[in-house]
Amino acid sequence: MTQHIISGLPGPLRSLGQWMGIVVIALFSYCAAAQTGLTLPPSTTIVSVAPGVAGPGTERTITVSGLWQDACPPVGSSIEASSQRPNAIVFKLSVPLTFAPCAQVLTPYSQQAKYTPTQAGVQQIIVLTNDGRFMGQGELVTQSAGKAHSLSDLTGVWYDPATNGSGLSLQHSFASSDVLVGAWFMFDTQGRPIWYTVQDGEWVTPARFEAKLLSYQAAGSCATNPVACPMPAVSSAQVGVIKIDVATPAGTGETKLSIDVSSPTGMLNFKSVVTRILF
Amino acid sequence: MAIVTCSPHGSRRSIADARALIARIRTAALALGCALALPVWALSPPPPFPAPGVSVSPAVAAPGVPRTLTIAGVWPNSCVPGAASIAPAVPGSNTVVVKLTVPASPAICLAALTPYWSDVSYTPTQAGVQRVLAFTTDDQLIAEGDLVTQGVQKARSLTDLTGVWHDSATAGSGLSLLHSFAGSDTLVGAWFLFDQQGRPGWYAIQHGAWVSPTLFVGQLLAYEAAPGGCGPGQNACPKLATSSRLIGSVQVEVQAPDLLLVEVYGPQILIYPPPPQVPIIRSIVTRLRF
Repeated sequence: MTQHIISGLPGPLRSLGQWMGIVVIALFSYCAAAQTGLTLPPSTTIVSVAPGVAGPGTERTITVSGLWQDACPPVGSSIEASSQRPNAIVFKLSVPLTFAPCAQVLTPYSQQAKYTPTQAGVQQIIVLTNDGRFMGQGELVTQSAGKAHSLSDLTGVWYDPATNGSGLSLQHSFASSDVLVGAWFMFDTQGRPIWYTVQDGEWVTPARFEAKLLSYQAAGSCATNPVACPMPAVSSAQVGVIKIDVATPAGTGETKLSIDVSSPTGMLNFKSVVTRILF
Repeated sequence: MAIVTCSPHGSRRSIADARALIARIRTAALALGCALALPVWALSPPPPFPAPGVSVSPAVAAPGVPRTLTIAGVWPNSCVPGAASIAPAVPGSNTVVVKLTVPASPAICLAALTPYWSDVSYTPTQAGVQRVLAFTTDDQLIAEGDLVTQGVQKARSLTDLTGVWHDSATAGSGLSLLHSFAGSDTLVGAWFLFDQQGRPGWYAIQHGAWVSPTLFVGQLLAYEAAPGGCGPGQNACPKLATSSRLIGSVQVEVQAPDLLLVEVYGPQILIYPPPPQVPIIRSIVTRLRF
């Protein structure tokens, strides 16, 4: 059986030893804190809203969570509407104002606040502490009474690795009109490049978009380039209907689009699951 | 000239004269002040009012170069925010927070729309794009912008070009650009054109770099796939590309945030002296807003 070195000392010395031990630990903690202060890991702020999309007048719960830089995480929160910018709200985290030292350890935290938007649209959620530090931001999506609004911005180039070389280019006015347009670049049966536009669509639900797939034709010739050039289109025809389902599988964080293209004439009938190209 | 007497009447008269003298001196001083101020005003017109929002000067510079961030806008009353300062950064955040002080006593402010602006100096330490958020001291978000810092050896773009671009003279054709402006600054795109027979064909813009903050140079490539593979009766489908062909060098010149000059130059002919380069495609495009 082992005996601690301090336990074997006589009374006064044992007490002195214990005090010295405390001082050494405190000194070590201070040094460790100073060391970590030089290399603080990045703070993380996650903003989520429940329900994700709802109409005006529906109370929403905004949750801000993450890892706090020390052992004194926020103890409360509140929402303040921005008088200068109606499309922004401030989520204020109440940080304890104390002179007591906070241990330099990353501490998980989560704070919630209720907010009821009065208008449809996308509002920016700005996260600040009550001492004015900016922590991060998120979005609050509110759909109008009779119209769905999408959940996330789909702007980007999307592709299926199995058909690398073909792709879908989408432009999404997520924060304003929620209009989504795009062009699908693929190949015809001879292997030549061909494109179709995705337009005249609407969000059926926050996660489903339906639109027309159109083909354009031009007349004329290219003056300087023997291959191709920009020309005014002289005709367009609907060649199909495109249905895009947006899904973000839990745990992956990577959005996938399941696309179904169909046409009454059978000219274009295929399904594709695409992911966004990140660069 | 006033004569001062000791009688009660004389005293009243001397006070009146003194008042008149003060009035004359006041008028003369005002006239002199105006006479001095007018030439100064005529020589130096008031400085132009900065654009609302966040502006940065110089717009692009290397790390270590001090930059002036100007926050400007119109305030709902005469107690405008000012005295901009940089708030301490949260570790790992790619955001610069500017705080503007608002007067603490709004009761004495005139209810009139009032322009304001305030400058603050900030020196970025790393290349990249930082988001600039301007708050008042009572935590109202009042402006947002970007601070672009280029690498020492590498140019960086000034504006995000992501979007659909077109020339109204060739409506139907279009250029789709994707720009990782806040990240790697990579620019890729797809140009939707028509061939000599009027058939739609697309071309990829890739493998490029920013030569200056407003000039991007890349390659225009045509891709092809193997015939077939689309199922019976179908016209087209997504397929694996099997080959690519260089059409030429593409230059994208940013003439304004919503205006681009796009030129394509064919491969150089290997003769001496080299002939002057003439673009095989030239298009001035504007960004579609929707």
